[in-house]
Amino acid sequence: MEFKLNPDLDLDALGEAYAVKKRLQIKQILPTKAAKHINELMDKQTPWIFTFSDGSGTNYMPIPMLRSLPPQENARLQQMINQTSRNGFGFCYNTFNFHNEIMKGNFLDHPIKKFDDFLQSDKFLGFIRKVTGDETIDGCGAAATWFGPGHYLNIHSDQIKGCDLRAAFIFNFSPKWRADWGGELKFFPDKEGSKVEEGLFPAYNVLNIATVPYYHSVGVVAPFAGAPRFSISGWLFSGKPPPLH
Amino acid sequence: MSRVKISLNQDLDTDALAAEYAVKKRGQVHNIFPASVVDEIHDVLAEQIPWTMTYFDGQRDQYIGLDKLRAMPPQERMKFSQARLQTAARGFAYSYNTFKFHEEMQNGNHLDHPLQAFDSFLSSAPMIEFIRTYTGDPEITSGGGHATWFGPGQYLNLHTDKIPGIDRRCAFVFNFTKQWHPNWGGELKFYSEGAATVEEAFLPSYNVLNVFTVPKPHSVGFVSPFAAGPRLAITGWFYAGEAPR
Repeated sequence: MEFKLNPDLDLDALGEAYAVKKRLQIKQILPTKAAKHINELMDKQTPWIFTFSDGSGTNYMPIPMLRSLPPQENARLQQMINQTSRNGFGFCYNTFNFHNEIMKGNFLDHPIKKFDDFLQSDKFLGFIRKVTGDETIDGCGAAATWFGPGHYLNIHSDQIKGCDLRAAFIFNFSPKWRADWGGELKFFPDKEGSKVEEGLFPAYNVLNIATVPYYHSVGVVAPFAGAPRFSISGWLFSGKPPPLH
Repeated sequence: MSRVKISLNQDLDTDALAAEYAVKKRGQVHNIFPASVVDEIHDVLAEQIPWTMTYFDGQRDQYIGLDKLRAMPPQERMKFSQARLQTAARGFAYSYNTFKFHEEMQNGNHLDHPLQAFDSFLSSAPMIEFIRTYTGDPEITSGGGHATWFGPGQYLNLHTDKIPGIDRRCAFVFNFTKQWHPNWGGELKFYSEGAATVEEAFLPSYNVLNVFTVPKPHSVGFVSPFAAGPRLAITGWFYAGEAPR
């Protein structure tokens, strides 16, 4: 599928709205068919990998391996992740780092490649420059994420040393969500996270954009959440892209 | 504590606080008590409360003693937890620990408990005068509360606090949580119309009073499994007329 943005979006109005808080939520971002296509890709054709922080770095574990862990080892892993997350920067969720993979020459015939092409194109980057008012943005990297019950991403600012990140974005592809299920994108006024200024629920065919640095987190998805939280999130930068990993 | 006179911090700028409250019909009062008073109440909550776990089974409030819960055989305990998750996935539900001291004392129980002083304080002239000025509601005449302790995995789903036949004017939460982290969840979340977003959320804190005008859609967010401290509070309502049992 060739991707494009919903042609009915009012760029000037979006730009004005963005300028107020340096962040914005845009509904109906893709044509309906395109959103459905991505949602189905995430539901059925994505080679998800479980990722988590152990305090010293990012770890990856294929989901079949996670599922085959003996209960005791699984409990030990969970305890280690919890320990890291209690007082520091921790996270655990499922990801498919498709831009990374494509840059390394993998998954070139996967249907997500077309979406990656779209994210690198002026159709998307030109739109982002216009909405954010930041003309220096010239590159983009993105990954698919699936947060299930118990998954979260602790507070952070999206700043990366040695890379000029200008903004971050999240395309939401969760068709069904209840307010009690958690998993909000929470915005904090400071790095201490003294209060939650706003919390955006997982949604469908919605794009969130925010100027970096900004303090935010993805709240713990409640164990009783009845649907997966699917999204494609990424960074917009100027000049040198962030390092591959 | 029963021998200590509970008093509000005398240095509060009530008029300035009231002006803030009027904007959103909610607010936070920091340093609500003198330091010695707040520490004493905290210690009672931490050490002297006959806690009972309460949950909503889909139809009514249920109570189960913590000793009974702890004595449950693992299989029964798992079934119990699964039933809680199933209710919460479908709609309104909650799970936390409580001591309904106002109700108990109205019924003639626990009259020698240290929180008796707090129960009297809630309907005392200085408290009622403060809350009338703060919320701009001169018809408030009494208050009633209960102690709550939310631990990891506990929550109180979205609701408005409106109950037919009871004239609740505003809800309050006195926060007695000494240590908290923005990643630990458990926020008092306020929702916009139709619960489309979280428009603001207050983190658990210490010596802070939260107040909001009823009705208002709100919830207590799911407490992260890795939260390291108890979320302690005294919460309830101020009424026009006598506080009900």
